[in-house]
Amino acid sequence: MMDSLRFRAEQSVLTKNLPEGTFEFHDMGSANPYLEVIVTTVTDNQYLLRIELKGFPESKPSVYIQAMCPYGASSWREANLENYQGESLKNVSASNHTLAPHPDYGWVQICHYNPSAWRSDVSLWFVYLLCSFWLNAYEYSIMKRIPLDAVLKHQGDGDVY
Amino acid sequence: MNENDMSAQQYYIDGEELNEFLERDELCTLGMAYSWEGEGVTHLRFNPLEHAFGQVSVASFAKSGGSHPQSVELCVDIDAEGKATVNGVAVDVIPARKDLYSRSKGLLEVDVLASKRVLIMGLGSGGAPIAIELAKAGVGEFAISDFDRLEPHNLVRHVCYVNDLGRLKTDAIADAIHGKNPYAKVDKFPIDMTANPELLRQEVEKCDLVICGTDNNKSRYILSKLLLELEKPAIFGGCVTRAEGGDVFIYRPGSACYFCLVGMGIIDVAREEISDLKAARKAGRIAEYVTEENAGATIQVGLSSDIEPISNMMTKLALVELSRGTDSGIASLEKELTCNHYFWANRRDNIYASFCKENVENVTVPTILRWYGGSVDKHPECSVCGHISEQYHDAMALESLARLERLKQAFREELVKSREQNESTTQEE
Repeated sequence: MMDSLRFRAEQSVLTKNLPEGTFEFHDMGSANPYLEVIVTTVTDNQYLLRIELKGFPESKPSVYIQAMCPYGASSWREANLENYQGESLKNVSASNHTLAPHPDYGWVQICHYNPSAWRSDVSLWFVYLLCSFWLNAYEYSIMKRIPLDAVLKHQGDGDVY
Repeated sequence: MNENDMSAQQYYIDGEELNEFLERDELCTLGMAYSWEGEGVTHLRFNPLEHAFGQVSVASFAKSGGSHPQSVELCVDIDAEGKATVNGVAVDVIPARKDLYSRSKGLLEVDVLASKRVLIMGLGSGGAPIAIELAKAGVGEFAISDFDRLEPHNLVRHVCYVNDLGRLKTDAIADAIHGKNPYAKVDKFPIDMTANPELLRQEVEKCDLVICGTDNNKSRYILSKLLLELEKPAIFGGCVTRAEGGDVFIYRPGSACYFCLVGMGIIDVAREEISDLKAARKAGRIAEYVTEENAGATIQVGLSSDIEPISNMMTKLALVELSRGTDSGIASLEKELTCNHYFWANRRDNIYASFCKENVENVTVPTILRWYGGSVDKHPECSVCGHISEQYHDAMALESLARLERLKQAFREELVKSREQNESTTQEE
């Protein structure tokens, strides 16, 4: 569980690097704290991520895509994401880099970090960057009609970009 | 008598139990006999064993003046001097508590060790032998923790036996401890203690030393936080994939912690050996999308003989820590084992590929099967004992930020191309 010193450091780094009003910590001090953060991709689509902080930083936080707001839309909606072949991302898939969907809400879960390589000094800002990479890679794969795996490599397998 | 004469009978009696019986007023009592069938060896007990072995029968014990019940075949006579015989054959006495470690005196401060309590987390092929070695050295109290059971794939590396298959490792190791030190107090925790922080805190607080034989950083992190807070020493150990080598780290309050090493990149957590599928799944070390078949391939364990040097070093360091300040042979190692991080290479593979072939002429070059010690200082930006600054987070994120920018740039270029294509298609139409 995050101590107050670590929490302040995380908050400070996010404040410095993210636009105002794009992230918010919730239920800190409870058994299920989480961070909501908005990621805007190159296409100006917006995604609302929920980073669950139970067990952070000793273990990798789970990241779910809670909602999305496509460019030009006026409200958030459920992110029913599909891969380039039209298959839902709400399942566990190595090639789609997804883990089990949220047990209560069924949100897509992003696989952002190799669990065996997780280090407790990895910041939420770092996690944000990895998720932002995932989302941009996802949209890129849809636009190019190629597998996500062709854009996003598994950690330790080298980088495409 | 020929010492290999199979018809000869040998009897053993528990010295502590015998002394207790001698102090009692009663002249006779009933107990149990456990015989190794066909081997002529019988162990006599006043109190039934928790786990029987061999052929079990009733035994009668009688002091001078006492009599045996007619129904009992195995009768033990105890004379006024406390010497026991069965049909005139002298019974050997298993040393009582005070005599058990008499031959270790000088090397180990046995009375000091008898008063020490050690918490051992993880009873796999690394942690289990340490428990038994510390019992052999005379450590008096243990708290042992592992949620797992002994499975067939453990057998060739683990200290327990085929008869232990299916048993909780805590039960099997408690028996193994008692097999070496019948007087040891053993508290068993067949759970993941890191999931029960209050219990873990109580146990860390009660012990003199923690041995961390778990195989995941989550448990080491939770433990390290507690060690820091409660100012308790600990010894961490682990092997890299296929036990090509391994390392041992000693945490002494006030000095560098395990995560100072991780933060400095001295330990690559991704290269650590995964030896148990269930434990690795539970700890989240294997991603959910990895199938059972593929996960099985990630289990790349080493040989027991490659793990043992690591366990042995941990045992030795544990005895030094527990004997600190005493006048004993092992305590003299305090002056030798002054480093807080030691590593060992079993083979010239992968990260040890650059090691030299054994070279007795030149002992300054690194070769296999030797210990190398280093002193690790506290890492100011350690995630456990230090304070991670904004600059540290920024520096860590630099590469990812650059990768993200490269992807975004490629994406933008594709978007421009796509728009241009669309525009030219529209114009053509």
